[in-house]
Amino acid sequence: MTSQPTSVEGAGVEEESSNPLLRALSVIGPGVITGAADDDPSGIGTYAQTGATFGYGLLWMTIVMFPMMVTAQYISAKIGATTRRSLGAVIEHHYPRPVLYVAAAGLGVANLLNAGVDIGAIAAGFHLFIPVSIRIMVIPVAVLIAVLIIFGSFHLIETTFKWLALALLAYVVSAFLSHPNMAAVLRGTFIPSIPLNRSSLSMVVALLGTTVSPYLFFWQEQEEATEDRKAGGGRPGKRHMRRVLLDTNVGMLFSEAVAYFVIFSSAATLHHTAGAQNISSAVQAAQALRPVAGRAATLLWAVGIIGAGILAVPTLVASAVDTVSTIFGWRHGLDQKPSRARAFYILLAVAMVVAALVNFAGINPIQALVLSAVVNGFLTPPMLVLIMLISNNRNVVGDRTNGRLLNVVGWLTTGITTAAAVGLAVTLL
Amino acid sequence: MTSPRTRSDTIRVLALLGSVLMFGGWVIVILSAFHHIGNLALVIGVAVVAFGVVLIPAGMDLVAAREVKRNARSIVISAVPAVGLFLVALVTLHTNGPAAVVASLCEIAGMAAYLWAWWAA
Repeated sequence: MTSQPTSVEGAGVEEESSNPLLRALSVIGPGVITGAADDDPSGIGTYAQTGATFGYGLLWMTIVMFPMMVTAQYISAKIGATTRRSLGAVIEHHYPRPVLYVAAAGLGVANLLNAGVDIGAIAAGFHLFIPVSIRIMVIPVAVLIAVLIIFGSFHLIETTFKWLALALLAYVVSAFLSHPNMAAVLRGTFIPSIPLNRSSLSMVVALLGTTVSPYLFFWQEQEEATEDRKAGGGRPGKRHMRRVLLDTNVGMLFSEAVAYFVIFSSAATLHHTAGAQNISSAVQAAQALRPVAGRAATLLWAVGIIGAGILAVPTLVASAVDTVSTIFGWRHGLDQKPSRARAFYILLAVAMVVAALVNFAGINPIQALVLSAVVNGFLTPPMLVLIMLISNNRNVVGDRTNGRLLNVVGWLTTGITTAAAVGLAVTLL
Repeated sequence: MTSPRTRSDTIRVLALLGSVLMFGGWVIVILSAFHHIGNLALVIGVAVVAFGVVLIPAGMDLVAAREVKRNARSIVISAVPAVGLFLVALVTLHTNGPAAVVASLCEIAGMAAYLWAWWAA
């Protein structure tokens, strides 16, 4: 280490700056990165489809989902900060092995499907620049991402690619330029209503699945654990946990604001103006940006999707492979050198191939984005039960168990996601 | 002799400067594709600041989270594709002459500053 560590409230040693601006900036951490990763192509596709199909009718979901998302992510981060172990390792140490196997299998299937459709969306984005078929484009995209995460630094990849998310800013501007019916927007935002049929329940499950996503629990938990382990020191103090809460709030607020404006602008442009109910191609999805960018809308959409995808695919694949590596006791993590975590990186390369193969299943790549979100929606309830039990287990987190508010909102979130998934399952029978 | 805290702060300032410059470069490229900017200057201004507040500080933890994969190969593999995409966006979104030059300078200088901080951390 090159500088003197400074103790923070008896726990979590951090190298604090004496400069107030630099100190304020250091508050931002894994929560914001996780929030940005939440707006992955599957998320953006699901939000756009929501707006195209239901108009402004489901805007209220973004407000309802915000506390659900913050609670799930904060609890995950708290487990990471307290145990300084990955969620997989925590399950391995404190619960029967079959629990770990089931969690790894569920996460593996959902994450690889999600990564696969995200790779397809990135390929669809590149297809708008380069006239090569999306299926063929999938292969170089998967290879590029595999090379990036195996031989590159994920920290640098995050830092150099996150700027592409700025293209999502176009959704905010487009919403205002599309001459929305503000009365309908306000009604959709503040008055919850939902027709109880398969189509709307599918969309609710997809929205919950892509927002309160299990892979994000694992990801933020691991990021927090790694950050705190590197920082050294004892158990996290209250001040440290307040920083984690603030970081999580900022990240999730950003994520939900983007979600709100993607639904808003897609509703205004695709549903109300163009009369579209279903998005079936990248070009059609990009039409939501037409009011702000005209003919450049497709290219702007492509930039946003490519950036969001390159941030999300490594986290999706790595969080699944991390959990499997825990089962086998392999050295793992994207911060490891390939020579020191050979098995982890080989499995990661295999996982990338499997994810890429999803695009050869004959499913429309844009509609597959929503399908992947629905699958995540079914996985969310059991994973929420797991993190709620872990975060209330004194053997795992000591005296840092959940307070009353966290338990109420956490179990309410578990109940809502379960009810939505069961409701959809009933309509499918 | 430079104290450890001064050195950490220098790294953080360099990382912050790099991030702000890269952010600036991308803002110029993205906004150049927008129509009707004048009508919605306030909305765009607020949105740009909000994106900046969230995106710029993320990744500033270079000192706390010291990189294990710190070598020239990592830099080339991680940064070159991002620069390539920046240039593709610059050309395809038709960023005009002076704006394109300023955006490119921001991106190159910003990335150099950030990579320097990453290497020195």
